[in-house]
Order: sequence, then C-alpha cells, then structure tokens
Amino acid sequence: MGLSFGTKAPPTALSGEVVVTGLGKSYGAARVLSDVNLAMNEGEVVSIIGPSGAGKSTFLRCLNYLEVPTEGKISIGGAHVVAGGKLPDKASLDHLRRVTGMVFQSFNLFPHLTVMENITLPQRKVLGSSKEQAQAVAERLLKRVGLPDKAKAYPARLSGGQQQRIAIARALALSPKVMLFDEPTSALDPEIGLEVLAVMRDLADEGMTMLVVTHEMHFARDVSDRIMVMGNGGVLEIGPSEQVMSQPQNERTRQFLKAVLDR
Amino acid sequence: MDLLTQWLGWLPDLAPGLGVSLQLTGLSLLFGFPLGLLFAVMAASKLAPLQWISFLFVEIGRGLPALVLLYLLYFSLPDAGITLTSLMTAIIALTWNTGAYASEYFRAGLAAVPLGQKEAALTSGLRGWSGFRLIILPQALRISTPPLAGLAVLVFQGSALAFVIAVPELMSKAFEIGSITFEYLSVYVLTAVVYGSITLVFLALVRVLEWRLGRHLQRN
Amino acid sequence: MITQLLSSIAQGVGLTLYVTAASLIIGGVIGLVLVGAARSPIAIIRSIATLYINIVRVIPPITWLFLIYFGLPQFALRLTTIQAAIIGFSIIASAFMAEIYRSGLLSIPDGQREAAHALGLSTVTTVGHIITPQAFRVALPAIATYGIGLLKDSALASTIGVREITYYAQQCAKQTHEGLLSFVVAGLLYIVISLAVALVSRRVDLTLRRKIGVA
Repeated sequence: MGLSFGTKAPPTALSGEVVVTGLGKSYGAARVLSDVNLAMNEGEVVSIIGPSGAGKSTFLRCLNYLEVPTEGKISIGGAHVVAGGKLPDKASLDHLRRVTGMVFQSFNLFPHLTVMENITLPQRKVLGSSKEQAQAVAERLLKRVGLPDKAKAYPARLSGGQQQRIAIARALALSPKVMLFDEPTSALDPEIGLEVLAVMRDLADEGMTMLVVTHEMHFARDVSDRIMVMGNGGVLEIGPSEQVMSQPQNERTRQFLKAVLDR
Repeated sequence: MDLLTQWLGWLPDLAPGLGVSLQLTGLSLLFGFPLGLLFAVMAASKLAPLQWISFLFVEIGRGLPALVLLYLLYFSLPDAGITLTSLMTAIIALTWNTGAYASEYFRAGLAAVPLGQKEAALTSGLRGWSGFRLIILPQALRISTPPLAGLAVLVFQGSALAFVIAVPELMSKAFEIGSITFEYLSVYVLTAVVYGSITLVFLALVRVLEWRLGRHLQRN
Repeated sequence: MITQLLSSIAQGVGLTLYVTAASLIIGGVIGLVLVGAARSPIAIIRSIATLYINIVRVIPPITWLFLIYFGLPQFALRLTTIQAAIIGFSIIASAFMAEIYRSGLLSIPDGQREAAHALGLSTVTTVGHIITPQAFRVALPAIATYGIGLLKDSALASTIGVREITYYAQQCAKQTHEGLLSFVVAGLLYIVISLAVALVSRRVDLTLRRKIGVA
C-alpha cells in the first residue's frame, strides 16, 4: 500500500504520463490551491472527489491552463511547464493543450456548428487534417460514443447526455494523451448521466489516461484506479479506490464520504 | 485667432438658445411621460377601441422619423386653422415622440411586475385602481425609470431638430453665428461641446438615479 | 392628388436607402475596428476607442451633420451633400454598432472560449470561427433595429439638402400646400421600409435559430 502521495512527499522520482509537483494558485491574498502533487501512469484513471469549494475543478483547469497556476510544475505527455502566475510561452501552451483533452460540466459544444463540424473543425485547424480525414475520424468516434446518426444535427437538438458524448468525441478527435473530465455528469439527470459514464468506462477500459472530477461515487470506486480526495485547496489523501472508499485515512475524508454516502 | 476668446465671445449669444432647448426638453418630458403612461395603460385595457387608439398613436410616434412628425404638424396644423408658435409645435411633436417611446418602457415595466404581486394585491383586498396605484405602479415605475432616464437624454438631443422650423434654440443660434462669421467649424464644435457637456451631466444624474433605485435590492 | 404626391416623394426613396445602407455598412466596419480596439491589451488604444464612442454618442446627429457639411469646407474639404450625410451617419453608426457588437460578444458564454482554448484552437480561429458567428447571430435583431433607427435618422439629411424622402415631402408641402398629405405619404414610406426591414430580419433570425435549433 505504498501508493499514498500525500502532500508531504513530492513524487519527483516517479515517471509517468502526468506529473504535477507543488501546484498552487492564489488570487492576491486568497489561496485556492496549495501544494498539490499527483503522479499518474499511462492508462491510469484517477477520480478527484471532495466537497464543493475544495479546489477540484480549479486544479483540473490549471492542468491545461484554463486557470493560471501561480506555482508548481506540470508535466503531461511530454509537455513541461513551470508555473509562474502567467501563461507560458506559446509553444509550451500549445503542446500542453495538444496532449490534454477536456470535457466540461456544461458540454460547451459550439451551438452554431453541426455535430460533424464540432468534431472536424478542431482537427482541421489544430492538426491540419484534410476535410476527408477529419470526417473519417469523426464518423469513427461518433460510432464509438453511440451516436453515428447525429452527424448533421445541431447541438441544441440533442439531449444533454448526447451533447456530452459528442463533447467527448470532439476531445478524442485530437488524439489527446490524457483526458480531463470536469464534473461531466453534474448537469445531467442521474439516468442520463449513466450513458455518459458508460462511454467513460469504455474509454478507461481501452487504456486512456483519465483524470475525472466527479460526484459519482460508484464511478470513482468501480472505474478509477485511484481516488484523490481534496479539501480546502489541498490533497487530503490519495490511494487505491477501494481503500479510500472503505478505509479512508483522513478524518475529513471520512466526514465527507459519510455525508455523501448517507444521502 | 484665439479659439477660447472666440468661443467666450459667442457664449452669450448661444446661452438663450440653450435655454430654449432645455425648456423644450423639459416640457416635452413633463407632458410626454404621463402621455406614455396613459398609452401603456390604454394598451393594457380590455376595451378594444382604447387599445387601438393607443396602438395608432404609439406606432406613429415611434415609426415616423421625429423630423417628419415635426414637419407634419408644422405644415398641417395651420391648414386645420390652428396657429401655434414654432416652439409650441415643436413641444407637441416632441411630446408625442417621447410619449410613444415612453409607453414601451412603461409597458415593459408593468409586464415585469410578477403575477404574484397582482395576486397578493387582490388577496390583500386592494382591488382595481387602488391595487394598481399602490402596489403595481410603484414597482413598475422603479423598473421603467432607468430606460426613461435614458430616453430623457435622447429627447434633449432630439430638441435640436426644432431648428428646422425656426425655433430659436441652440442649433438655430449656432447657425446664426455661423452665417454672420463664416466660422462654421468653430461654432459647431462649440455647439457640440455644449450639447456633449449637458448630456454628460444628464448621464451622470441617470447613473446616480440607477444606483439609488437599485439600493433596495443590494444586500448591504 | 395622392398618387401625384406619392410619385414625387417616392423619388427620394433611393437616396434614403442609399444613405442609410452606406452609413450602416461603413459604420458597421468602423464599429468592428472600435470593438477590437476597445478590447486591445494596450491601454491607450482602449481609452481612445472608449472616448470616441462616448463623444459620438453625446452629440446630436444634426449637429454632426452641420459640423461636417458646413464646418469641413473651411479646411478646403468640399463635400457633396450626400458625402457629408454618409460621413456623418457613418460616424454615428460606428459608435452604436460598436456597442451592439460588444453586447453580442458579452452574450457568448465563457465556456465557448474555454472549450476553444482547451481544444488548442488559435486566437484567430477562436474569434473567426467560434465567437464572431455566434455574436453576429445574437446581434442581428439589434442591428436590424438600429438600421431602422438609422433609416429614420437619415431624414435629417434633408436639412443639408440631400434629396431623400423628407426633402421631397417638404418641397411638395411648400408647392402644393398639402402639408398634411405630403408628410403622411413620407411617413408611410418610412413605415413601409421599416416594416420590410423588420420582416426580413425576423425571417433571417428565425431561420438561423431554427437551423441551429435554439428557441
């Protein structure tokens, strides 16, 4: 059971797909993230849980610089960035965003583009794919998320669950090395959320490296390899999913799990 | 030529024009706002003829360019045996125009009062007119006030149109000075500065008003 | 009588439309530049854009026209009445269009920009393919409403002698002494054009909405 990377031991010795060291973020005097460390191997799935306001989303959004961290180091799939409170140079930023794919709570599909265009536009602009290449990739991914017949639809015509599956396909189309999920089912009715979780489960089975901020305790327990529990902008504990769920080490983790599971 | 000396020399000639502009604006607002409220209430009435009259007056007042409305009255009233000064004609035209736009804001304000307030008024025994006057209207006015204040600024700018029917307001005075001195550029820049400064003062007042009206919605 | 008046006054429709459309297009392009400048990272450019927008808006349109038509020739800049009107209304339209674009941009949720960033789209692609098309669709009804406002403002061009609808109505009123009828005809022409613009814009807006499936 040596896999507990608490806040004390910086995991510099570990190699892997994702290595985050000492990540912190402050707005002036307000500290929203402090000394977050995380090392993930290729193909690993880590769920981030914790009460609201714990800094889970902020942490995730720092990894592709939607939020700018003020300190720490990020290394994902060969992209390395040292945080300094401002955007890194363009090449590093582009690289970081190339290797990460993100799925948002509110889907954020482009409403004026069809499903097909949503998936092909980034490929053509970022990867320089031809129209035919991009469409072939899109068709394959639409099949994979179970929506092969929605290529011509506009997002507003789709249910939330369908939109989120399209958003996953859009992110996958750029062949990211790591997928970041920011509460992907929070905006959905529970039974609709299941269809999104099923797609994510398949993705995990296929060996995608995934970092998932979630409130779905079943998903966290059953699909992820490890669970990271956050509170007050820091890591409370991290460990194998079964262990964190059944024998949490940290007192605040116990309180949080009790509150969630009793609901 | 010292621009400032030139401008200072013209100001005494422009001042009475500004007075007329402000008078025209003030009276148009004074008559136009109640007219707008009347149109709004008529539009909400259950009597079809009242609705139609309101619709007609509002659509003419808003649909026609203010200048056309002004000319329409100016050229047709004398034929109907009504002789008015140009200033009176301008006041009527601008009042109509103001009332038409204001009615839209009043309507929006009345529509924005939640249905629950009307029901609460009814169940508190405030029926009909007293419920409208004591419960609905004050809330509607609060909502309508910021756009109405914005309208007041536009009415001031619109008062410049009265120039075309020879009302001796600011633009007319500027034109007079221009035709005598041929310093058109300078005199119109000065006029623009005068209009601009007064408008800025208006806008500042509007902002204070918005802040005061919003206060009851702020938490502390 | 009324057909005679109509045929005389309708001669002005062409110039009314020309002045309005030209000013809306030129003003619309300048407005784009302004809204870009107002979001510039350079503080001086931002302040200049904001100052320009505010100065334009606090001065009455007729003052702008006179300033340009009577004032500029002092710099040996001889303008035809039509040129002066188009310059004046373009300046005025640019400030209002900039405001319309700005609120269109504000209506785009942050998530759209974030999704584009997360996908690694460049700023140019994000602005060109993601933000602008959405902002334009949102702004379309406001642009049409402003266009109708500008159409009515264009009546002011008659005061410097542009032979548009109001100019001819005024001539008819003086010559025929049918003041009421002349301006009723002029008013009707403005209302008909306004209604046509409103109908077309509503149709386009509805088509766009229906196409992408938003209510």
